[in-house]
Amino acid sequence: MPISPICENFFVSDHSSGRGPANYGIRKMYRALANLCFAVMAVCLLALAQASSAEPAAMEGAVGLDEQVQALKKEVMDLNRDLFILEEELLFPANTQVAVFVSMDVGEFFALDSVQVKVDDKEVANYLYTEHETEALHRGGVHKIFTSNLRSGEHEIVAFFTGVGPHGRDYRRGASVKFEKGIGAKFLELTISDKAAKAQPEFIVREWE
Amino acid sequence: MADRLKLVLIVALLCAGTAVGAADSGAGAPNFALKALDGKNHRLSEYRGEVVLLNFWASWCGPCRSQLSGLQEFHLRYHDAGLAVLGINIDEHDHDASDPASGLEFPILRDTSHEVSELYDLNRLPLTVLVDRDGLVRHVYEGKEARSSDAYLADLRELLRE
Repeated sequence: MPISPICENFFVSDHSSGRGPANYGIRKMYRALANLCFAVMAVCLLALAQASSAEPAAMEGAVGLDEQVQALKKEVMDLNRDLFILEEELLFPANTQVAVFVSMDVGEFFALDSVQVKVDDKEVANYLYTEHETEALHRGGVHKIFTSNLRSGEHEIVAFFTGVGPHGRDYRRGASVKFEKGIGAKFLELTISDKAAKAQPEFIVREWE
Repeated sequence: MADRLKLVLIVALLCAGTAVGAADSGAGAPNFALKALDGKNHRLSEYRGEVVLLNFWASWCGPCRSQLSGLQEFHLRYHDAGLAVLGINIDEHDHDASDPASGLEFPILRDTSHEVSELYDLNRLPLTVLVDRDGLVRHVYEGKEARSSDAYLADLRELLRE
């Protein structure tokens, strides 16, 4: 166990100081200081020992806390999911639910700007697409533009697509479909695709089976 | 499952009960999508992670026009630090907005229907709203206090440091 430099000097002085009565007081003082030094060392060692035994405990505490935080986060996420499902079920029961999705297939002849949706001649959605969103559609993403409740029976959906068409011209086209809403949810898809033969975009409304 | 359902309902009720005004400090900034003068569409939620400075202005409002150069300076100086400046013009016609906006490098969005202005409780011009990186409204400056862009520089820098 290494001793601090100050303490070493005290021992050296004690041994080289001789044994005469003149040095007795100094020796006594050195001895007292040495004892004090030992006491300080002992306290330091004790503190060190305590610290080293407390460190793993603190580490364990931190790990435990981290796990608790992770568990809490998971709980919040689960709760959020349950809340979302519950909201969907309460607001749009399966019997009356109608959802409309927008998708894009290639889309070289049409740069999408916005989509307006009318159900039974009533505007229900008007959505502006940003660059990021159209990019996501190009990559195969599907956007849920509208969800609502409709009673059973025949309904008509009309979608207007606005954007830039071939040769950089402003383009606005409509597509419509009449559908029968029965028991169970109804899903409709508005698809923008390319008609390569005519070099024109094509807009289709179709029902999901 | 029944306990979980109860918990979900309690949370839902609490959420409903704590709804706050649109442009209140600390509330979530109402999301919107608007077309800019250059034809591009911008959605506020796509700026999550950046500090957003929303500035509502009109061409007929003198103080609004005079602060545009200050906003341009903010845009140039703090863009790389994560600031997005969005000017929201409420003029009726595009040509009214395009003249004062010439030379500005940040997007000037057109709120012709004033739907977004209503969302943000616009009463006096200019109106500046600072939205933090989490999408929360942190500071609102209206009328006189929003005239000088230096007035909210300290708050802006603080948000950028967060």
